[in-house]
Order: sequence, then C-alpha cells, then structure tokens
Amino acid sequence: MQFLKTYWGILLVPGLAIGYGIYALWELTTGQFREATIIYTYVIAVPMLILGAVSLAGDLMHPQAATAGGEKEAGERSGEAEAGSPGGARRVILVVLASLILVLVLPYVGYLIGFFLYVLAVLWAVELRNWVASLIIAVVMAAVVHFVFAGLLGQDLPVGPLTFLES
Amino acid sequence: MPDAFFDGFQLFLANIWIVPLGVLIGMFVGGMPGLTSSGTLAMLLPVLLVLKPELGLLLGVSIYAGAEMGNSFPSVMLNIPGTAGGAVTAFDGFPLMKEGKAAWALGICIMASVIGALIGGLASLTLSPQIAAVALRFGPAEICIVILFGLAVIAQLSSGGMAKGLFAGLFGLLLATTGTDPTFGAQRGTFDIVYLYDSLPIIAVLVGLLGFSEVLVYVEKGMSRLLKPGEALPEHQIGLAGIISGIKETLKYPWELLRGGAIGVGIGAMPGAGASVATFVSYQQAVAFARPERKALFGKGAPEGLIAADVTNNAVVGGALVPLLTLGIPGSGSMAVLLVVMTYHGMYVGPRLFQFSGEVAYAVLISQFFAAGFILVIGTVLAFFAYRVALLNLKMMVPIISVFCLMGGFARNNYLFDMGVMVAFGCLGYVMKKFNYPVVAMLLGVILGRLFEREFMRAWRIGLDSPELFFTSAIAQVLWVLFIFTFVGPPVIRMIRRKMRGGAQ
Repeated sequence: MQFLKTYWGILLVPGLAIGYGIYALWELTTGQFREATIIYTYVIAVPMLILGAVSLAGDLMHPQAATAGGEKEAGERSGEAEAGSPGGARRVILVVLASLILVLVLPYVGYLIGFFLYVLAVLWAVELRNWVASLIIAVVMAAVVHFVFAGLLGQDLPVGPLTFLES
Repeated sequence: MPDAFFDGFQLFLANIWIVPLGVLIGMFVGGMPGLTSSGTLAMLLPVLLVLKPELGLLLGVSIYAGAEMGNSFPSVMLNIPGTAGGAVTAFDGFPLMKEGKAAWALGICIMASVIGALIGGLASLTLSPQIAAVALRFGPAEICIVILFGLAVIAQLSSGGMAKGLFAGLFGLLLATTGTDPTFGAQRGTFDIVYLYDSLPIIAVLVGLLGFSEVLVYVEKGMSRLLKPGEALPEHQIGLAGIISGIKETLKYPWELLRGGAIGVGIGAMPGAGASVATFVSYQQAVAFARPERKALFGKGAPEGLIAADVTNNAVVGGALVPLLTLGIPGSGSMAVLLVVMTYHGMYVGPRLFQFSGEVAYAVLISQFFAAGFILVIGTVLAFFAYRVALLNLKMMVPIISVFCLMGGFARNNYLFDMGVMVAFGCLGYVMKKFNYPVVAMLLGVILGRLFEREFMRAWRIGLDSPELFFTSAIAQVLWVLFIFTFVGPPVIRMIRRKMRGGAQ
C-alpha cells in the first residue's frame, strides 16, 4: 500500500497502457479477426509493451528524475506560478470531481443549472472567494452555453427540468 | 487567359461582399472547440442551396478558409485546438502564449494563414490539372507512407527520452484502433460501450490531452496569472505592435512558408488525407530540416513550428478545391457539401466544369486571394482583443476554459459520454505531463492512427494480403527515398557544409 501511495504517478501511465495493450492482444484471441488486423495490432502492441516496461523500470529506479523535468517545465513557463502552492492536489481532485459530477448529473439538472453550479464549484475549488465575481462569471458562462452553444450552434444539450428551453 | 477567367472575375466582384461574411463565420466556427468547417457547412446547407450557385460556393469556400485560420485562436490562447488540424498550432503557439508572446504568436498565425491561402489559391488557379493528375495517383499505400512522415515526429520530438516518446506514440496508435475495424468491421477495445463502436472521440481526446490537462496544471500550481499587466515584456511583443511584429517575423521564413504551402496543396488535393495529415507532415518536415540549435525549440515556442502548421492548414483549402473543380471528386467533408451545392444547381460536375460553368469555377478560385486579404484584416482585429486573455486572472479563467473544454468534447457528436472521455484524457494528460511522457506523441498516434490503419488495411487488401504494394509503384518508391532522406539528409548536408567550410579555411 505504501508502495502504491509513493509510486502511483509513476505506475499510472505505463500501467494503463500495459493493461490496455494486454487486453487488446487478449481480445484478438477471443473474436473473429482477420490476419491483417491481428498483425497490425501485434506490430503496435508488442513494442509498446516492451517500451512501457522499459520506461516504468527506468522511472522506478530513478523516481526523482521521473518527475523533475515535468514539474520544472510547468514552473518555468508560468509568469506568476506559486510553485509548490499548498493544497494543489486537493484543488486538482476537486476540479476533476466537479467535472465528472457535471457529466453525470447534466441529464437530470440540465445544462443551464448544471453549468451555473459547475462554474461556482470550480471557482470555489480554485479558492476564488469573491462571491459577487463568482456569481457573475457563473451566470455569464451559463448564458454563453445557452446562447452560443445551444442557440446559435444548435448543440443538443440536455435541458433537465427546464423544459421550456427545448424549443 | 481564357474568357471564362475574366467573366469569373466580374462575377466574383459582383458578389465580393459574401467573402468577408464567410471568413467571419468561418473564424467564429473555427474558434469554437469541436466544431468543424464541414459540420458548419452541412448545417448551413439549406442556406447554401437557397443562394445563387456562385454565392453559395463563395460563402462555403470563405467559411472553410476562415475556419482554418480561426482554429489557431483557441489553440494559441487556451491550448484547445478546435480540430485535429489545429492541434499542431497548439504545440508551439501555446508555449509562446505562456511566455507572454500571444500577440506575436497570433501575428505569425495570421500571416502564415494568409500566405497559405495565397499559395493554395495560386496553385489551384494555375496548376489544377497537373496537381489533380498527380494527387489521384496516390493510392492507399502512398497515403500510408505520407502519414508515416507525420508519425515520424514522434521520434523527433521525444523530450522525455526516446523510449517514453515512442511508448506514448504507440499507446496513441493502439488507442486509435478502438472501435469498429475500418476495413473488416470487427469491434476492438470497445468494452461493449455503444459510444465507442464508431471510434474513440478524437476531438474529446485532443481537447482533454492538451487543454483540460493544462487547466489542471494551473490549478495545481495555484497560479493567479500567466503574466502581470505591464510585466517586463518587450513593447514589440504586445498589442498591435506585437501582432505586426509577428506578421513581419513570418516573412523571415520564406523556405518554411513555401515548403508548408506546397505540402498543404499536395496533401489537400489527395482525397481522404486532409488538414490533419498535412499539418503533421509539414511540422515533421520543419523539425527534420531545422538546425540542431533550433530543433530543440520545437514544442516550446518555435516560430517555424507555428508557421509550418498555419501555412499548411490554409494551403489545404486551395488543394482540396483542385479535385473538386477539375474532376468532381470531393476530398473532404467540406468539399462534399460544396459538391452538393453544385449538383443541386445543375452545374456540370467533372472535367467539363470549366467548359460549361467556367465563370463560377474561376470566381471560386479567385475568391481565395480576397479571402486571404480578409483573413489578414479580420484576424488582426480579433487578435488585438484575443491576446488580452493572457492578462486575465487565471483563477477566473479556469472555469471558463473548463466549460469550453467540456463543450469542445461534447460538440462533435453531442454525446455526454464524450465529455467524460475529455475529462478522463485530461487527467491522463496531466499525469503524463507530471511524469515526463510527451503528450504530443500520444496525440499524434490517436489522430493519425485511424487514418493510417484504414489506408494500411486497404493497401494490404488491394495487394492481396501482401505488403508488396508499398514498394512497387514509382510514387511509393520516391516517397520512401524522401522519407529516408528526411532523417539522413539534414545531418549529411550539415556535415558536408562543415567540411566545405573547413576546407575553405
């Protein structure tokens, strides 16, 4: 458990890719696939699995080097980056959670209410504590989604309980 | 000069007002993540059909040209490419924006787009029959080799190490196989999810990997601004001066402009290839032929990379018109809509178009030059306001960019599932950035993988389950030589130059 807690980031990308690669190869043995499809998948998946294992081993042996470049790059580019700002991981999790919840509840609450609440939630997650500004941004963004995406561009967004928006 | 040309010019002048309108609509559409010019033209089809044929066609071509430029705005400002073709603009445009050079970068995009449109217009006006004859000799095997040029960027741009770059690229290629096998119809990697039966939603994936992942980076760092107003930026890099400086900068790269334009016209004329393949190939060529000290800048804000992407994006428009007007073959979705307009009005479609409706065909070709002019004017005005995004409070921008990312994921298919895919790939991109996996390599695999597989399988079938077809035609052989030259040529040329300089001293 401690190992996973320490190395989750290093394990995640190659782990996902290796898992998907193994699944893709396993799938070839279960269905009716033509020879060309099988060859094509093998040509991609096998070197990917090997390179994934190599990358993973390299990162596990030198965990400091695995993150150094990426973090440095992100910090270097920022004009006013507060590098190592406390609560960064918590903020990321909150924004991702808010986004996932929006996707899940959008059919029930509709886009107008959904995006209004989403913007408020994200502004709260990024610690903008000016409620007047937050409310204005949330209203403006809900309006942009309504007038531009749903209205002008005809996107078929779920309306939820606000059925009068359907027309 | 045929009489039809002058008739076409007169016809165009009588309807010139529709061009700026089309460019403006196109820029708006191109600037909206997830919306494509072909989708917009399809939506506007009832309008295009009601208009006179010349007006409908001029409007359609202007929208197409404007959209290819409009694409660059969200790519540079928000790292959210509107289409797969616009992704390459984000590679170097967004890093420039983060350095506070957004106005400069947009100036480069505008001028490169203008020159791309001019090259495309000139080529389609003067060399249409020749280009069409060559382009139609490109079969699946040849297109496959062309796509390989684009995929070669993976090896050339692996900043986190070659193993990680190739690994990410191959992972992208494998993800691109998700869905129904384009040739044989078998389903792979769908986990029985109906939304994946077609394929992985590419726009949602690219918006997530590039745009949403960047939002998460800002959020983690707790950044409040990209740069402060009046921060020590050179005067010439902000405001109108910055845009004009970018426009001037573009002109310092004539070779890159010509090469990108030629690639755009050539690949644009190939049915089925399109802007995404063209921009990646152009970018790969720019990387391959860059000096070693410049090569390191690609992906970090190299103007050559931005020029390669944008000049090609717009030259594709002229290239795509060639098979449509000379042979009646639409090479892309946008061109297919224009073909519908032509047939609806009873225009002769095919080699005799110039004989029976020459004035309309010439009016369309001529309009590209004027569209380029309007791109310059409208693009500069929009850029003058757009670059200020860099000065806004990032905490306020995070939800705004997030909403655009979510809508960008949704817009293409109108599936909420695609929004979820966007969020998932945003998280993946964020972790990849943290642990030095090149997101661009994976993106490249996902975008080009589907096309590559389709053409590869076609060639494989035509060759009766043998790879022979990839090596037998003269065009394929020339392409292989060029492909090898791309890797071997630049260092050899540099070595020869060094020796010659050494000998002279």
